[in-house]
Amino acid sequence: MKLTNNTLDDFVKGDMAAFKDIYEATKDFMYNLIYKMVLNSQEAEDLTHDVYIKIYEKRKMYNKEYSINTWVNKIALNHVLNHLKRKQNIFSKLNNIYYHFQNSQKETDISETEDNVALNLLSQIDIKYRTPIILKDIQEVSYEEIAKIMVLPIGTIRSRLNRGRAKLKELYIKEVKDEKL
Amino acid sequence: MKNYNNLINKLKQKKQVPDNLFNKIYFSIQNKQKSKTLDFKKLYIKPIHIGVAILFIAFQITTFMPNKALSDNEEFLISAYDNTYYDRFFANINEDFIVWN
Repeated sequence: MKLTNNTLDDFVKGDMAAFKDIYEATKDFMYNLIYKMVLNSQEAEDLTHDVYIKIYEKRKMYNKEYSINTWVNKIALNHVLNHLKRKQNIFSKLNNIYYHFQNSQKETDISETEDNVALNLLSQIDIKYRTPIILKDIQEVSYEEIAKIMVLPIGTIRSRLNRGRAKLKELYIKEVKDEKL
Repeated sequence: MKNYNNLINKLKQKKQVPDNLFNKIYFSIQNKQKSKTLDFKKLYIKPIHIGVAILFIAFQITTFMPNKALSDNEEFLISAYDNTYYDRFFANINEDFIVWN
């Protein structure tokens, strides 16, 4: 769905129909991006909901020189990273108390089916390296756009991507070997 | 490399966005906007009441606020004036009293 300049103008003014057009144009990409970051469908739904509310509230800050997709994805990524950081802090505080409980509970909703082994492997990679893999290899975003979304130089993104890929390959080889054994 | 590509292809499988998500977002935005705007018709204390109260308090303060402390010289002058005024006042009464008698 191609968004026109009029739609963007109407969106900045607060028009709900224009906002719905933007939602329709970006929802698949955003939901899948968030899902692959948090690996939990309910959490991904809640976060997508919160991100769209934030987008509507901050609409006046949108600069038309940039693509709406880049702006929207930047908000989504920052929101998810903040959420994960907060979650990590909470778990680290509770870690000593609920250590055994935490181990018995699965944070992600990945079942042990063959397709989901890939998601399981992805979840084991640090968020710093997981983000470029999700954006570049899975969502197929260009390096320039990733640089704008993550506010990092392209060189840094390339190096993080390489490290992430190496780690993912390593985990995959280990998984295959374990299965053979 | 082939294995990695297979892995990435599996990860590329898209998840369906929940159907009613936009409705939830829409209602959340509407509720947020409602809570932000004050409905003055429902307010028991209206802004005009607050304005009148502020004016009344300001009037009270300016009217009954004590004057600045007077110096000894000023106190003396005032008391001297008062004394002469009262003396004359009573003198007049006495005069009237005498005339009347």
